Amino acid sequence: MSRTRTASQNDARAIINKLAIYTLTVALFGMLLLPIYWLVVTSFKPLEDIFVVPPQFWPKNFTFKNYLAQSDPRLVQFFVNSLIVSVSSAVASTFAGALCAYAISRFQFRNKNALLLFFLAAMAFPVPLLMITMYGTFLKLGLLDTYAALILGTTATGLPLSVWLITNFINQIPVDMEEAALLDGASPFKVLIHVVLPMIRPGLAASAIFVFITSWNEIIMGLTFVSSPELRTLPAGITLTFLGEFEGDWSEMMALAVLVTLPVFVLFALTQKAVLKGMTAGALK
Amino acid sequence: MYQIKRDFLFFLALVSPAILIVGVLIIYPVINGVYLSFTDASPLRRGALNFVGLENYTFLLEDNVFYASAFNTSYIVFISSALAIIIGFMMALLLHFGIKRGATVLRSLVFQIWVVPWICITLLWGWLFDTDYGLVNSLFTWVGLTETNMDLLFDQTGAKWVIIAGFTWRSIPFLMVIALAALQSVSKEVLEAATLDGARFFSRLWHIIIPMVRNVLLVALLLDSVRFFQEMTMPLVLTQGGPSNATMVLSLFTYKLAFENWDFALASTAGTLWLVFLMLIAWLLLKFGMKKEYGK
Amino acid sequence: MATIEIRDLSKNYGTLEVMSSINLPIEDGEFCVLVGPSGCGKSTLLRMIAGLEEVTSGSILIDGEDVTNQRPGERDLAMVFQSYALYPHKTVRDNLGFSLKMHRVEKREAVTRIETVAKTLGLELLLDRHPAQLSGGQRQRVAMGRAMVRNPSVFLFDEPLSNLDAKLRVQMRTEIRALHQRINATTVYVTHDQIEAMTMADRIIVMNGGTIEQSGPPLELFDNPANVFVAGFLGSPAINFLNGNVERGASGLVVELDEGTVLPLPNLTDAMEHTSITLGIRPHQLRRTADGPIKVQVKVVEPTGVETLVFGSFADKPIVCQFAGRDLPKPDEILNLTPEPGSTLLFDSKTGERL
Repeated sequence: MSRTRTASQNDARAIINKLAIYTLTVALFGMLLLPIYWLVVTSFKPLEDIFVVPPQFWPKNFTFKNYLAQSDPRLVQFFVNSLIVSVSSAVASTFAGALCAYAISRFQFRNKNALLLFFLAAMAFPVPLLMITMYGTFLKLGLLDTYAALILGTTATGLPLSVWLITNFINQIPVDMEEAALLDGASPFKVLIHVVLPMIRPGLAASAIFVFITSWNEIIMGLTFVSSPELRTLPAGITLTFLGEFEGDWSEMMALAVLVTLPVFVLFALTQKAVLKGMTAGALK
Repeated sequence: MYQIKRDFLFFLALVSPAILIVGVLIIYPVINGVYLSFTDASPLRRGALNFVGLENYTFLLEDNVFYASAFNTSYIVFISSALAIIIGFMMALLLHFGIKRGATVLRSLVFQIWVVPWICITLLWGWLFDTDYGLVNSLFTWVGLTETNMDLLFDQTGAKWVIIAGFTWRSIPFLMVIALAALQSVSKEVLEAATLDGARFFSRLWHIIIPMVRNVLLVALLLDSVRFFQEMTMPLVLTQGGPSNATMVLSLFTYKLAFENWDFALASTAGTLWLVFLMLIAWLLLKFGMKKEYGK
Repeated sequence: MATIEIRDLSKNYGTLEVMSSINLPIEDGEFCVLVGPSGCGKSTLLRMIAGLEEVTSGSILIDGEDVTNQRPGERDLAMVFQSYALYPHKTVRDNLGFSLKMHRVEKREAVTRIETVAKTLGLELLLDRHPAQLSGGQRQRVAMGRAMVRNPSVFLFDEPLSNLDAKLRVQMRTEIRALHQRINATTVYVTHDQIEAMTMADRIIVMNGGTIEQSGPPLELFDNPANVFVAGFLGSPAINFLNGNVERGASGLVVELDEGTVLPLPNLTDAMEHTSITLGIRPHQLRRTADGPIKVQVKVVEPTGVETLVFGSFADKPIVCQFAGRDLPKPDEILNLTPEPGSTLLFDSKTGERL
């Protein structure tokens, strides 16, 4: 084949390339976003409209009724519970994680890499296995059936990730600024507060969001560590309460799913940039 | 900068909260878990623990459901990870090299999927894969892939693939974002040099881009697959491990042993085996998958 | 004002010894430059003085007080970093004022001091900017200002000019020197650039492999290097080394170079007879004479306007000469060169020590 091509051949190739790229982009991204679209669209349809063939890609009879049906006080309670547990564990895990990460990053000691590897491995420790002993511990401490059990459990499973992520983030920051601050007469704690903290915000954000999302998703601790229905978190509450009462009303179910997704969606949309920065610093290490 | 000798109090203040939490709620439970696997522990039984040697292990290693769980877990995690990394990397390539406008918006939009709660994915998947009115069946019949509606959730292989679809969908965004960041860190000049050397796009991809991003992707993939091993909302709520244990995964199996049968000993054994299995995979992956880092 | 005394200072990383038994007194008000190739331990020494690096054994005294185990903040010294180490989230004003805040200096007093320093360094208009909005040279000034604002008794500089372009570097060199002449604080300055060391120091300390090779005033070190390393390190273009043996010729002791050339030199002594010897000849101390014994084949000629550098080869080894004026030799031309009488440095080839 000749290696030289005419200008029109080049143009044709470029157009075909572009066409292929755009078709692939639309197909892949469309496929990925379609479930979300379907979730939202279904939640605005009256029940009878979702059982039609072929399916309606746009609601013919737009309705809010499915959302109004969610005004169940139990749901509000589950929401509040999830919020309490997720915020507490995100804060606790990020706080303890950041302190520990700072020590790992800025103190010299042997086996530092082994320690980091341990935290990485700890993310893989089977949670049900950990829960067996946690259950006994919480039982002894009288913490079963309280928020504390859920918060401690999710903080513990979130902590290795916080430590790992924030350590990698701090490692990327040159130590000079902190040394300058020490020479400027700041105590180690003041260095931490005045110099380090402002510089590692993205790392902290990434850690907090990670742990928040994992806790928001947590289901088996919610099913086992608490037994009172008024202490259940969303996943456990939905499974035990609403799915038990489910009778095929998918449009109401989708409205529920939208409501449960919305808080994390909004939170994440607002913090995505910082999370991305914190995460890539950690992951690209 | 700091010295443990000189700044000992500071060091102690920094590490003690984490050590306390990790020590009491992670290290002790793991060690205790391994210990319990050699006993007959159960909260239902009163009285002292009895040491039973390898009895739990021999029991589990003869249990078909345990083997099924190990197989299902590997099957689901392996296929989901492979699909997610391939599709995620492809999408990152499209965003980075393909489309000119809207890449940032698309990325942010897709990345949002990564935070959809598992319980919501479970509910949504139940609706999408509904036998009579699910969107998947409608689309499949419309395209002509199938003639009659599939009972996916009640089919041994189908149910696994429903879960695979959920895992893959949830983790593509994460891997895409990491891959995109890795691609952005590949020096433009290196690629330009390769272009001048006469390398076409696919040669550049194979010889330059992939070797430069593979370690990052591998670590991200490892992190993600480890989470797959833990994740059990979907098998627990959507399929309850069925039909006939087709979606029984290790996490669900262990959880049910512990908190439905209250057999802590057997559950600890399952958990320990699961841990050993995971460590083995991670070790193999790091040993043979990671290539040496070259200086930047 | 302060004196510094370093006694038997050693530093190990695990089993690796990076510095052994350094002894160094630094006088009050002295501008001391630590110079040496990378990895020679000069920065480590500076960081140990600052308290940023752990001391394995030995001690550091400031004004007679043992500070070896004190925190950096307790030592009353200020440091200018190579990277400048400005606090990225603080304005120039807050960067300058941070140490005053940490030392609880009264607000009005702090404002005055910040303004004085800003004026001295020409930073008045930049006080409300963040470091990211400054040029390299401006950042460098802020870093200096941050050190000055505290009136510390000791200034430490860690390669402060290496991130600046050549022109700015020369300018800052003079400014730092002028500043020192005005405030006269004890200063320890680390650099790998021997020109910086020569031009700025009251005293140069040449380090290599974790030990001090020689210390003294710049010209003293230039003219009387203690060994081959110091001779080779100071001076640009670098000194030429020729190897040979001391033998007795017809008219007394001569050096017989390895390739056969015989050089009569005035500063040979009887004790040197039959020893192998390294001659050090600085490029500007080679002269063109009709009967010059050193026959150099010209390779490359570099005129700088004031002087001419000639890179040639002698006995297949590179040699550099520096001539005043613009008499440019042609490539491949043979020059007959003679070392200036009495200028040649003699070293023992085996130990590298000066003879």
